[in-house]
Amino acid sequence: MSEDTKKFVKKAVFFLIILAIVFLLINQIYINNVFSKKQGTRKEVIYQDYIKSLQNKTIAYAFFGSSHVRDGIDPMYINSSFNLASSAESYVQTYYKLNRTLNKDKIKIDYIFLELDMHTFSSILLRDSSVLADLENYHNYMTYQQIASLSHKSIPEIFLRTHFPVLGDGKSLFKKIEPTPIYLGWTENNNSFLTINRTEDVQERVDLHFKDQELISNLTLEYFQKTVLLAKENNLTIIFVKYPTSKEYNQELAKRGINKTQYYNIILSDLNKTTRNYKILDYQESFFNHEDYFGDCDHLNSKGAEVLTKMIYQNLTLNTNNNKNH
Amino acid sequence: MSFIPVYILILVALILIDYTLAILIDKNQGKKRTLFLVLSIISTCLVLFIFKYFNFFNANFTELATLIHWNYSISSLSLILPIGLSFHTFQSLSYVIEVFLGRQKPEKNLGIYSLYVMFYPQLVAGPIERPQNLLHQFYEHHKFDYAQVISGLRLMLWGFFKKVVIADRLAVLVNTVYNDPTSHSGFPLILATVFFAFQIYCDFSGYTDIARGAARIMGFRLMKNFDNPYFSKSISEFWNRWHISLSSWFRDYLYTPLIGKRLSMKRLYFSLIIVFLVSGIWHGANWTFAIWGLLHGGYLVISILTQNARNKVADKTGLSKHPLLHNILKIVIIFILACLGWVFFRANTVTDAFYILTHLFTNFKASLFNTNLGLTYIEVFLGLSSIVFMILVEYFIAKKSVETLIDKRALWIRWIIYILLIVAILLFGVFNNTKFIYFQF
Repeated sequence: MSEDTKKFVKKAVFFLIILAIVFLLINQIYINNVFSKKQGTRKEVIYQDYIKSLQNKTIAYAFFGSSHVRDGIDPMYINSSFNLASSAESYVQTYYKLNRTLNKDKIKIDYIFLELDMHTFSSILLRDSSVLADLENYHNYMTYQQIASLSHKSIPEIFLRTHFPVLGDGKSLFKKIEPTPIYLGWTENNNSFLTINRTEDVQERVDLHFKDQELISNLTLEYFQKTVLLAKENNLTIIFVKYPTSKEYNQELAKRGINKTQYYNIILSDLNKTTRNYKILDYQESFFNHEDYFGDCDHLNSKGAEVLTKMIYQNLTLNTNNNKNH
Repeated sequence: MSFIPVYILILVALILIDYTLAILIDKNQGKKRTLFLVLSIISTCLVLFIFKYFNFFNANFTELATLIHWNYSISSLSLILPIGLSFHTFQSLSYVIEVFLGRQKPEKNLGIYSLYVMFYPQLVAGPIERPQNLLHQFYEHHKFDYAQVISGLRLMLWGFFKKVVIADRLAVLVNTVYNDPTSHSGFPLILATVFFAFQIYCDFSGYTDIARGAARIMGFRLMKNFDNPYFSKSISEFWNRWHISLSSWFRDYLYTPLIGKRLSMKRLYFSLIIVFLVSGIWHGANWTFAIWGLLHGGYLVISILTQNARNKVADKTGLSKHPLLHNILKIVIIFILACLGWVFFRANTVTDAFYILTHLFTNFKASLFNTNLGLTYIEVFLGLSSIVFMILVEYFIAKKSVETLIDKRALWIRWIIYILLIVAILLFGVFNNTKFIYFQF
């Protein structure tokens, strides 16, 4: 080896060590000050703490779904319940989350509540930035190969993003993060639909969900079936919920020719091939005259979440009593 | 644009054809010599035409045929553009032409010639090298040179910074606006156009720096492809500083033959228009590129026609007595002219381009606070500050060499600079959009 080469190798090794130390330090600062405050990270920690506290390893009522569920179900009003929903979650993530809870964590679930909203099967929930938003947390219940095949990212990239979440997100180090309160998975939404530009909000949300998107994506349907099958195999009582949205949101869907009846006919005929043993709770139009229950056109605020959760609980109790009577 | 393994056969075929024809050119005289040159040009252009331009011309002929009620029914080809085709074909063409002109001896070693065409750092997107610069380097003995390796790595690092931190971040806003221009008007269109000017510069010059840096590590010297083009004070200066390898290629192999020996102003203007039209079309099979090329050709013609008038205006207004102010004004005007051209270069269709140009100042005040542009305010600020940082660095590199700026500093200062750059790339880089713009050409 020439003198120049030896000199280069020596300096390169020393340089790389210093670079690695600096980078790992910054990464740790990011993990402590940014990553640990992210919703996905906090929800995972809360979930882990919750299941550790369970004496009988049973969650009576488990709620899965997107931000409609994340904001709309407050477990404080239903005993032994947990809100496992997360932002932009499609049935792809729901399936793997449920699988982890049942098979890896060995938690028994009595009632599973699954979302059946108009945007639930939209391909928007499968775009690269959604599948899988919070990628860094998915390695808790998916293999790298599974994440790679769904997110169209390479395994090395997924590995790097999982272990070095600061990569590409350095700007968050300079942002002040105010963590939103999370209670048993429920995220408190203190916004008000009454104080924002409602027309603009509705346009934006409906555009986001449906413009240039497939209304019913095949991949979501596939994982929908897998989720229902998994629930059936584990003897879970399946309840589908159509969550409340504002009147304006529904009117906008109708204006754009999105046919609700046709949409649900397709979903349910697909579902009925797997099971007919389920219940549907339809609250889509329940809050049309209660704009004060909404944080925006399709997310409930904390007041709306309380009302909806109590309604669901009442429904459950009534059914349980009816069943007892029978 | 794609890498499809079987397409390597196209590269092999072109290498064999030009290798053989160059030797034949050298061995022959007169008409035969010219014939072999023409064969080389035809074979190269035919491959380019089939893969890159056939569908474009076919679609236009079909439309024209429909208009004149002519029964024309040749279907389009389902071919993907082989990676780097536009670049290595021009590189091998320049070799054959230089042999024909007697300025280069034909390379007898097929392996060396193949390496000249396929030299990996510059195969995909240039710089388009001349045989006089590159071929002899393959015969030189390259030993490990510490200073050269450091210099090459540093150049690569700078290239990655420009690409991943600046270009790819600006691309988010540019794509949001340019992929749906009719949803925007006023300030977002101006911001997206200015951002694109820096996106394409940082993307392409970033790639070139990575290519040159990789070659330098191995002891090879590739030509400079950019020289602070946005500091140009005239359009002709812009084209001496932007994509230098391509503009000099067109100057030497298209413009000079077109001009001929008897220069007339009409012939000069005609040649400029043709050269820039061809240059535009070289970039892509779309009318937007053709118009971009024509626009720059037009700029040059107008600049020649108005030279005297502009000098008189500068004298009369007293600008000529204030060279700094005069130069700043020229730089700003050339930048604006370049940006107007970039509108066509980036727009997906001619209609989109005209929409953008006619709505740059529509609802300007109201559009200033449009937040729906794909980037948050912090990211816009990051984009702008990185542009300023890049301009300052490249300005000082042009004034003083990198050796003066960095190499003479203490080791710990140099390492801090390198670590800061690498950390900036890792923290602020946008890793979702890593394709280079010029790879598609």
